[in-house]
Amino acid sequence: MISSSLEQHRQGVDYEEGTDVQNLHAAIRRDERDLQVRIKPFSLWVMVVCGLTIFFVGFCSSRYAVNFSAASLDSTSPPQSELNPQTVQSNANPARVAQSVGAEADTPAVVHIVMKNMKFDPATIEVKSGDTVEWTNEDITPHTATSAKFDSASIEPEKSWRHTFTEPGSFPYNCTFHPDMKAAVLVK
Amino acid sequence: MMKLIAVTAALAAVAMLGTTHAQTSTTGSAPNDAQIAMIAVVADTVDIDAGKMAEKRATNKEVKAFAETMVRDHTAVNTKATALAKKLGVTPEESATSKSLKSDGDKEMAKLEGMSGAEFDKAYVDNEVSYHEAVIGVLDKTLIPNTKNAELKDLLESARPIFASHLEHAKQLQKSLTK
Repeated sequence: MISSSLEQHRQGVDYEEGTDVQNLHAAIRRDERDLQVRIKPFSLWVMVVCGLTIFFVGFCSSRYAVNFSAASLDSTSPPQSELNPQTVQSNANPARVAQSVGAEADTPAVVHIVMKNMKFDPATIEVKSGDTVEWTNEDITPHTATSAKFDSASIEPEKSWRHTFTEPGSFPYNCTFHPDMKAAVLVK
Repeated sequence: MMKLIAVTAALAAVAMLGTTHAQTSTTGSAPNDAQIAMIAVVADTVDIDAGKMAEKRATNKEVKAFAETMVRDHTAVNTKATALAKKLGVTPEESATSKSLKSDGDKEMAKLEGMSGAEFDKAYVDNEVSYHEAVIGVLDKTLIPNTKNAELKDLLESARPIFASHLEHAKQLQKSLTK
């Protein structure tokens, strides 16, 4: 009983909707034809203006980015420019670079890096010559901070290790236990 | 028309509720916290045992270093898990999952036992890749979603990136060994 009345109801609705939809489609097609003719010169202008804007913005930002990374690269000594592309990129983004605390004053600072969830955080850090970096292991497994110039050996969970940087340069390092844990310290 | 939509939606909703209810009632075998703790401990122990064998037998320097990391990290996770179980007054309890993990581990050890040199290195690393994939699957699908105790859940969640890192490490080794 209920199903048959539903069926009837639906058939009626479908029929009504069918004609409605057809009319609607016809109207839309008409509109589309009109729009195509009328809008063409206008859309061309819009495209030209957008294109110029994108080009201009792209040009400016690329110049800015190049200047920025060039400046930070200049300050590192030439023989240690072993920065991988990944670190250069994150360096170009000021938000990701942790500045040393005593950056304004000339007093040496202690900068903190945590080892957490199998990552160094922050992965790229910028300090001044004379600053000390402290690594703290917040994971439940031991880690190391190891480069050609320094080696923490095993840092147990909840323990820290410090190293003072006295020469400028870029120092990529990793955890010898977990080779995919990679990071870098940039000393100005 | 609106009525029809409403009726259809309601019917669909009832149908969906019915099936999800049926699903939850059939998966009555979800492990409890005591069983989850045991599964975690057994999963670690199996990998520690294989790692200890590889520390002695592996000929490739990097495979040896990897085995040392497996023993070091899984021991650390196990120490945490055992301490937490003690603190919570939970006695780890055997289950079908923990038993099959153990027996699969024993079989793998027996297989590795008969190997040496490069053959051993490759078989060990291949097994580490599939083992970590399997353990991460169990963590994501069974252990983490079913854990009631917040501290145990935290521990499992912090163990996950460790296993993911091991998997990546093993995959890298696998690539370098097949070169």
